[in-house]
Amino acid sequence: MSKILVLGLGNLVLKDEGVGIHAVQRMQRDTLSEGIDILDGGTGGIFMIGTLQQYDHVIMIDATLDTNPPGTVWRLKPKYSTDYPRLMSAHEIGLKDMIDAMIVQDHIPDIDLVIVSARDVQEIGMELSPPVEKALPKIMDTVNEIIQELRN
Amino acid sequence: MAKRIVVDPVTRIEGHLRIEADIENGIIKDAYSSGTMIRGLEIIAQNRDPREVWAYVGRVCGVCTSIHSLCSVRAVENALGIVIPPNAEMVRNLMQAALLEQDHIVHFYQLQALDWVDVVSALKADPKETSEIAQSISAWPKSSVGYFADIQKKIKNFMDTSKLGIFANGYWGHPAYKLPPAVNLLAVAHYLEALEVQKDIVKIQTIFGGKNPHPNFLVGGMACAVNINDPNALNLERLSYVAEIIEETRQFAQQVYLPDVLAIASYYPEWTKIGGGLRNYISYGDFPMGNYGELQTYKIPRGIIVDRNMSRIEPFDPTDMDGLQEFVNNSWYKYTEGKNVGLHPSVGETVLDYTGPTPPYEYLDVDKPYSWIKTPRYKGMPMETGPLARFIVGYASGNEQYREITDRCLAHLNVPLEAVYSTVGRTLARAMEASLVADWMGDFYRQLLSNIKSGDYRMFNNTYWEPSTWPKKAQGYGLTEAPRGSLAHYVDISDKKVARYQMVVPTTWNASPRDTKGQHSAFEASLIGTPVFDSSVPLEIIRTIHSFDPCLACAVHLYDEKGSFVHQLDCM
Repeated sequence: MSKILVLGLGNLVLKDEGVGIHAVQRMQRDTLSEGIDILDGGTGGIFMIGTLQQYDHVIMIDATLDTNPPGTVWRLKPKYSTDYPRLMSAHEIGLKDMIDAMIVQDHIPDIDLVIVSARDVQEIGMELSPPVEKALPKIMDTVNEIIQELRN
Repeated sequence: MAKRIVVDPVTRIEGHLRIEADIENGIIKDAYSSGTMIRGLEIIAQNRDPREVWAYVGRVCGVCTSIHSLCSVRAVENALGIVIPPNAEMVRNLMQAALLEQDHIVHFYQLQALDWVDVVSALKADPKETSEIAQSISAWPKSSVGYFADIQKKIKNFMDTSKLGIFANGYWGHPAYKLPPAVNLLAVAHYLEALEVQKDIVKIQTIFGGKNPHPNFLVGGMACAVNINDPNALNLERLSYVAEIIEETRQFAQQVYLPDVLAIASYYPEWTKIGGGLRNYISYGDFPMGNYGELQTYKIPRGIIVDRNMSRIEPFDPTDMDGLQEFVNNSWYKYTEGKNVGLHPSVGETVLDYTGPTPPYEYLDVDKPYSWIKTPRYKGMPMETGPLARFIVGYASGNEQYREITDRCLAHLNVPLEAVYSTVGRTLARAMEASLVADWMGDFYRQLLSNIKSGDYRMFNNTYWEPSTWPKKAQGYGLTEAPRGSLAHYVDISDKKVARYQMVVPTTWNASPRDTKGQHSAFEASLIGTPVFDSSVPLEIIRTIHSFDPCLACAVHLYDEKGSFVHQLDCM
């Protein structure tokens, strides 16, 4: 059976930017089926590639600031780092370099991306805005949907 | 007439930095360094349980998570008078050293080397020549003709298929690239090897900290249980795995990283005379072999060098209210007592006061405050901090290890001691430090092991764990030498909660704006006098700024001039 990692990305102390982390923290409380791991990846970075490369599939959850209503959840299958939307974790040496480093090593897991449109990143804080908080079940459903597809 | 050029953002760093430079006749006459994002972590820490703050401050950024956690637990332990067990001190040293090794190696190969190494030129190299060079500078076994030919093929395929990808950020073909194709190929091969070796180094954080990228810390010690025979504890098997990683790190630092820096530096002799900047250097000292606070047991000595006078080490006192102070005269903050006072971090304030231009703007108005970074001073003096500062203090202290490696490397490059005050010097200091610290990791490991074998399994001192044992008010500070330089956290505890939290981070020292006397900080000072070949491609500015290993994420945080948070993602 293939190994799957659910990876939450974002900055936990910048409200909605931390939605990916909130999501995996919630998932850790549930029981997960075999072969699936959960990781709070912070804002990501080159130092995480070794962990990611131990998996066949990685499901990333991250926040974005876009024109969709806050709490909108959607899926993407990016190939190169340039395929990633304006994700919160895509700091200069965060997610982009993590992806590019695995590409240059020619050792990159299959990646699915779950994106959540954010509202509040203006303030320092650990709480999610109400629409993003409300989206958490949808995020879980989307992750589970991807897991089902991968398992079939 | 000077021409103002803008580098915004400086790429291949964490966070957002803007540099403006006035160029006259091809030479930088003046420079302005501006952090265009703000940090607000001090606000998050407020009213929290002081025993939990390490977990939040570790979220400052994704690069140096655990160093902020370490600094935070040290601050709280200092406030509450907690002495941690010897095992915990060694575990912290090992985790911190692993972070330093990983950071230095990744910084050099993945972030900085591309300022000096032309990846495109590596495709033209003769692998046989690269192999001969590799074998002449190091005993590192991966040096055959076939190995380098394979790397070359791999890179070519990669570039053909993904349009440069991770290498898209270089100024390829710029005449300031001086390495022959064969050396470029050597460096590119080691770029790939560095990516591999850093994967192992970081496992030390996981072994001792339980998880990564945000390992566990604990006020009063460390959270890993030691029992040499227990399969679930820190047992002999896990410890010997740590020993293997240390050995792998040591070999890479000493047989690859340092020889590469020396080989590359030998093609850039002019850069041993450029980029020196400030003449004062600060190190808080770190890596205690005894208890934290027993300064005489530190591997990295504490002290200050003023005006490059290595015959005298000035003391650093973290509690001197007139010593360490932060100014805001050129920053977008205000203090209750006005714009021109300096505040010691124990009475520090973080109140935002943006007065900069409305974006989009062409230039900063540098006659007014121009940065989100505060300006730290020690007794009114600007200081450079980081590996070079640590080496200067270490060399001045007379420490044999610092002297031996410095003298050996400078002799190899055939340059005098003064050459360390430069862009190459700063880069070399980082590589020499990786070599030294890798040896020290062996010392920490052996001390940990012998302590455990003598039957001391203590990892946590719970005497003051319960808030009921705490005084009503307590104040403390934590100091560390982070990979990028001196880091301080100051905490006020009142009624069991954090009443005030202030952080003075390394890049604040280096990247800050001018102070009330008009004195430059390290970035600005280091750029003055630098020749710029083509102001539309200011590679020279990037070279010097990268030599500091800037990390703006914790110096500042995600805020733009409009007062709304932004995320600069299209800044390649």
